[in-house]
Amino acid sequence: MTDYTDDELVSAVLDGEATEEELARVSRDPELSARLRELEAARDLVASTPISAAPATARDDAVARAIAVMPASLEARRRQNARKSRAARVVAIAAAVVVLAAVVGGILALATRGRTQSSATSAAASGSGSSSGRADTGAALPPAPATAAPVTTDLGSYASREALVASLRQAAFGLESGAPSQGPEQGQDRTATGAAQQPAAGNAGELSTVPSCASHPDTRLVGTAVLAGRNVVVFVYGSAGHETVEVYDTSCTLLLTQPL
Amino acid sequence: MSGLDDDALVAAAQGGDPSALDALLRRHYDRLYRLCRRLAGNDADALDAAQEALIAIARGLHNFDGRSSFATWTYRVATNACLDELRRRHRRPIPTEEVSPVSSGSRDEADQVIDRLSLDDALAALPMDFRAAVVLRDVCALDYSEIASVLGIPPGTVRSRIARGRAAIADRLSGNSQRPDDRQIPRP
Repeated sequence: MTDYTDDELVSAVLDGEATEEELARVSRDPELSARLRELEAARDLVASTPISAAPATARDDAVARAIAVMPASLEARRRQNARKSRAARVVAIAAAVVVLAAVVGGILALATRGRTQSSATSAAASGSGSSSGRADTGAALPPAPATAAPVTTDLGSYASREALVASLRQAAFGLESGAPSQGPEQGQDRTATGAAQQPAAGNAGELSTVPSCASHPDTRLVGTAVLAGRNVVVFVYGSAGHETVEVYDTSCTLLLTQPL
Repeated sequence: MSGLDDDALVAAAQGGDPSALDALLRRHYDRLYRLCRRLAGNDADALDAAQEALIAIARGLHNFDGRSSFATWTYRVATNACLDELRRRHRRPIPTEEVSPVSSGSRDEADQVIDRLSLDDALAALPMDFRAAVVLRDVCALDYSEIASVLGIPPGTVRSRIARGRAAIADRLSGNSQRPDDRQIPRP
């Protein structure tokens, strides 16, 4: 007697999906071999009974109707792609904004630093300036330090304000001739001639940056010095022959303002 | 366009080329119609089912990702479309099959008509799950793993459904419609 399991075995043999062992078992068993022939006949009938072709008009009609629905499906695909590209665009724009902000920030920082630096160095190096002098010095405290520029000139150490001013007067010729700002040797020379007092916290060269205590448009010299043991910042501004000196401590408190 | 292979046509059709879709559907129509014809059991339902299958393919083409062959994918879409059509058919009158007149004196043609009617009856008597498995194997010549993919069932279930479907057809054609458990096959 055959059962479903036998039919499965025989059917698998017919389809070439049986194992060698299953194939051998069917070959040995006359009952299974008979069932194999029955199922083979059924299979052949299904496989070989001809199917009339569909009329060409039916095929043409079916294809035309299918293509007619195509725009709708493509629209769905376009919407899907549009959603993806929108998301990608948002990410790209966000990334671009971040990069742009970083670039602009960097440029602004460089420009600010450059302005401070160039005003300091041009004041120190330029021999000619504006003709407008500053006689009204000392009226108000300069603004608090905003930005810091690199040290441009080490003016040396001085025991008194008078010694510092006298040294600056001697240097006035150099300013007028457009000589570059004074180097350490000059500052040290002045120290030797003008003062015996040593700075409390090293020499003036230890001040790594110069606070921007003053912002005179005709600044001619920016430097650091040690005055009576304190680190100070010195600004000289004004036209030739009408220079004014301002001395600030490192917190931009005005200590001295005086025509040279 | 018709010289391109399926992959190229699918890519073009997915990109919105209607002529590529046209070529693709014409290439596969006869194959899909044969599937629908055997599943439906009559020409009228088969034509409707094939129509629905093509529309389903056009609508779902953007979902085809190439993991199976295009032919296997269309079998899956067409099988589902046919089964849906057959479920609808159960809710409306069953069309009468128009049998082509037999040519005078042509014994072969007469046999073919009888075979066809017998086969349609035998297939129609099968549960739909068995019929689909048998047709996909014996008409479409898919192997068990492909049928499993098309029907979404394990290969072991495919083997079982094909066997039971064939057995039912064989028994019906031999006039023995008893369950195998109740049937005695004489031993030589």
